[in-house]
Amino acid sequence: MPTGSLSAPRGLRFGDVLPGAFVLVLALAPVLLFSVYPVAVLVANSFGVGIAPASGGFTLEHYDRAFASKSVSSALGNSVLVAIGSVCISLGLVLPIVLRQGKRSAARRERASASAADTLLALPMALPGIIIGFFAIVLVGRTGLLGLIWEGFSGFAYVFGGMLVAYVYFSFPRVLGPLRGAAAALDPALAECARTLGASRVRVFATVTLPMLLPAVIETCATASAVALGGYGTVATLSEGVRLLPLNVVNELTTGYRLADSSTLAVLLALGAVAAIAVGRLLSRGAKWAVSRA
Amino acid sequence: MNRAVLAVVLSFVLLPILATAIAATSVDFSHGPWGGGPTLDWLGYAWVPLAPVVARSLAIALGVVLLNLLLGGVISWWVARRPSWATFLVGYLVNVPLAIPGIALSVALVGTFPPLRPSGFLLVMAHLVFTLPFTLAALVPVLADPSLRAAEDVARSLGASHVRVARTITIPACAVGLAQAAAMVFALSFGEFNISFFVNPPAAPTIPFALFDAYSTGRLELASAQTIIFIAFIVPVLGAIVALQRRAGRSKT
Repeated sequence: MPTGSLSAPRGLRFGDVLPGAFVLVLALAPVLLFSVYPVAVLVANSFGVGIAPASGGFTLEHYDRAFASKSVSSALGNSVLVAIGSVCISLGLVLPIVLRQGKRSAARRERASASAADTLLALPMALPGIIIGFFAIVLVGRTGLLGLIWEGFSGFAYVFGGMLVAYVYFSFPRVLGPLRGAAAALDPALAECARTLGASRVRVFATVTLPMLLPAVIETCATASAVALGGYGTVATLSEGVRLLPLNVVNELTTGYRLADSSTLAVLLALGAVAAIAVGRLLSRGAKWAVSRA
Repeated sequence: MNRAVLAVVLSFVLLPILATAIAATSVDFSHGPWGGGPTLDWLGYAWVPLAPVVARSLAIALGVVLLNLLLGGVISWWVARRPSWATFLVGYLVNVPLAIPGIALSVALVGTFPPLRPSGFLLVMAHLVFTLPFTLAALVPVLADPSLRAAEDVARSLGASHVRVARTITIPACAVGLAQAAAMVFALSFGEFNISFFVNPPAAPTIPFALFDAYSTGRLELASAQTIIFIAFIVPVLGAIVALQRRAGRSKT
């Protein structure tokens, strides 16, 4: 971001009005105290060198136990599948909408109805995961509405497919939002130019639009997968069905306050999420580089 | 074809909300939609115990918004105007709650500060650190805008005081960003469940916990009615966010 060098020497100085450094430290204190420090304690807890009752001395037994546990490994597998699967399905739904929007904003029509549609599309983002889990119960639970139409839908909320659909509801606004921004930033002249030069719609999509969107697609999907991986609310409501890793994290605390074991699983969950984000950034940069060279 | 996909997605979003609304207004939902006839009784039953919970959640969300505008304003100003290795680091640290799953942060917080839980202080701080990244994302780009800084410089060189520059130039320029941040933070705090799970004071639940309780113990109709009440509170805020985003998008082009 270019920062106006023209104003640097004589710009508005906060310090002239208030003791700036003091105010800044005060503003940053909650971040350090209630976000960064607890995460450090969480890691220390997982190694047994944290705060009581997770302060018995350095040990790797909590990690050994986590890696040896069948319930943890199956929950982790389910979590990864649900996170990646729900994001991939969301991407399939989102791409056509995003590309359509590019055309629409060029034409600037149907503003009122588009605004209502936008609000509706953004709604799942503002719903806590527990409500999405409850939606699954209302529609495809044991006495769900869709079960009246076809009996096969009864209890679908508690099998893997049902969990996957619930997480698609959770993930797709998180894929839609960032990709919308990225698509709006594309220069429509490039695609139009390719069309007037005789390229087919499919060819324009494959050789112009998609390569330009690709870095944003990769980064958005990775971030959304990380969020879905850590999403606890939906599976909390559907806890009698498929087991996902956040349930194990919670169970260690609610059934007997095993802080060190819970912290260990929380660290593993967080590592998964952070790794997804980091890999996404890396691949996105690689894609940007490759597209700029091509 | 794209129009068809949009229609499918819109009905995918709408269908469960409609089904929940039907369940909330059915005498007995297990007998099908509006089984036993339509009724508003469930909404009435749901509202009486839910009203104080809604009031508490509103108060917490408003408090978190205020804290965000104060602290987030200061941090954004500094990050936008004093770029250095320190601001770079702070940018990373503020975003920690975006990368770490909420439930993991919740375990971290309750393991670190158990005595702060019963008063609700830990809950407010958890909501604050969770929402600050969104405030910074809305405010930093506006404050870093070179044309805004140039306007401030011109006003200063013409003799306007710092306070006058802030009042007549900086704050009006940030108005849309501030409103966007406020609405977003409000919506996030009002529905926050994951980070809150272990830090919410058990004796004074927020609305997602009242819902969760209803989901695990209550009748489907009653739980649906509570859900509809929650959605009724969140939709206006969401509409405001979308309107502000469109406005910000328009002013950019």
